[in-house]
Amino acid sequence: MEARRPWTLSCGVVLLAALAPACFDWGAYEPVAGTTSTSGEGAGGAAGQGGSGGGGGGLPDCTGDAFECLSDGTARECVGGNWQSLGPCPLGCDEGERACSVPSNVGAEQVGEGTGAADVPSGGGDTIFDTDTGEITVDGTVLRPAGEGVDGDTGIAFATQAQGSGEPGLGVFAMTGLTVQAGGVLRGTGANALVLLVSGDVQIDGQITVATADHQAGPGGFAGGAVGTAGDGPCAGQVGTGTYPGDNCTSGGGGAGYAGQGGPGGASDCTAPDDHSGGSGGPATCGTPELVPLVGGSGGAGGVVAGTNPASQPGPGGGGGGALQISAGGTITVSGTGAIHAGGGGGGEANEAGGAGGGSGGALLLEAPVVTIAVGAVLAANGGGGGAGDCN
Amino acid sequence: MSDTPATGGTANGEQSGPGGDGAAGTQGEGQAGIVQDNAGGGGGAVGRIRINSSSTPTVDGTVSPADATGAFTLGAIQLAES
Repeated sequence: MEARRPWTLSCGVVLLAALAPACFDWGAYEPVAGTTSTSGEGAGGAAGQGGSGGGGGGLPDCTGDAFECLSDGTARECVGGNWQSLGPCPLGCDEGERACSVPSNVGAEQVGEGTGAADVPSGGGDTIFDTDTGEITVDGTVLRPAGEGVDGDTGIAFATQAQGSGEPGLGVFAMTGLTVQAGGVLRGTGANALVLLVSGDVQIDGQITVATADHQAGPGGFAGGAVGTAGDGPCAGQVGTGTYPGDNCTSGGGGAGYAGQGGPGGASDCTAPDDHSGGSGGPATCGTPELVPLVGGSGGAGGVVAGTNPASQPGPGGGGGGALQISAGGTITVSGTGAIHAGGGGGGEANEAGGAGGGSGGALLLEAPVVTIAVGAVLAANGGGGGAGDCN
Repeated sequence: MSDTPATGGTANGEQSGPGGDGAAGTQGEGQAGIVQDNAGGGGGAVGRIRINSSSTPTVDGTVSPADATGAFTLGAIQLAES
């Protein structure tokens, strides 16, 4: 893991030069010019007042409703003849629209909180980002310890953030750059969705995954249902209708929905009254196209036990794929060897019972001024397969 | 894993049904489990993919779900409210 502190140096310079109260007091970056006061007095007043006013009695700093994107990554607009800072523009600035470009789901100021870059190497095991604690590990070695704020060694900042009721929280990592080398794997774990905020460039030659392969959810997703129960989440698959003592037939559990409908579980096809309806697939009503809020996939339904058959052991439903957001101030490039996965889990294995439903795919949100998905690259948020029924 | 659907589980025994395939590619909906004495479970649906950028993004690689499903969309980066 490379640790760089370019912003620490920058902040130090600003603090010494202008005695600004904080490194990220963006209003202090633009001294007000052109007043009749001495330049030192005018600049000092502007910094202390957040750019809202200069010395008195002079010509206006600006005219009309001018708007400027500045080279230091901020923007300002003219209000009453004085420049007023609009703060950071972490994902760019649009003079035509007179506004800063900012990340979805999180605050603009969070993008600049990291002071070091992350480099996921090839080989040596997956690099795990824990979205609940902020810990980063590889092969059991702690690269970044758990805890909120900026880590002194890596310069990677972490914070958790709530979303709405019934929605997963966010585990937000902020850094200056992100590279995943070919053969390297960055894996998100935890209950919160994974958010990677990068003030510079992102280069993905390896793999980033928030996918799941079993009943557990990916980060920001929902778990598959236990035996005899529906999956978790707003678009969960539903369990098949019940059985009764002596019954030897069970239906399949429903797959979870998200952007599409989950597949229904198959009906059991025995002689009445041993036949039962399969569980409904989850609806296609989850999430928004913008992925605001950021929510992963729902869980498939668990299978149903066949009557009182002691050998009947259905499997759990597949978990929903996780949710990942990457917001960068520079470029995001997924090369021909790169991939990002958010697949749902498959329905669990059954023994003398109906199959369980698959989990739905999760959510992938990429945003940057320039995004390139090269030939050979893969972005996938696929649904998990349904489990088979078993009848030995 | 790319745009190839995750295959549903394979049936074990004549009276058991395979699971439905998971959704992928241009198929946004999970497939139904197959009817049998002990039937298969349904496949999961696709999730969502979104790319926001200031210019038209270059998308030459494989994206699953495909844009035909409506689950893969492009948009502009959000602007701050002044």
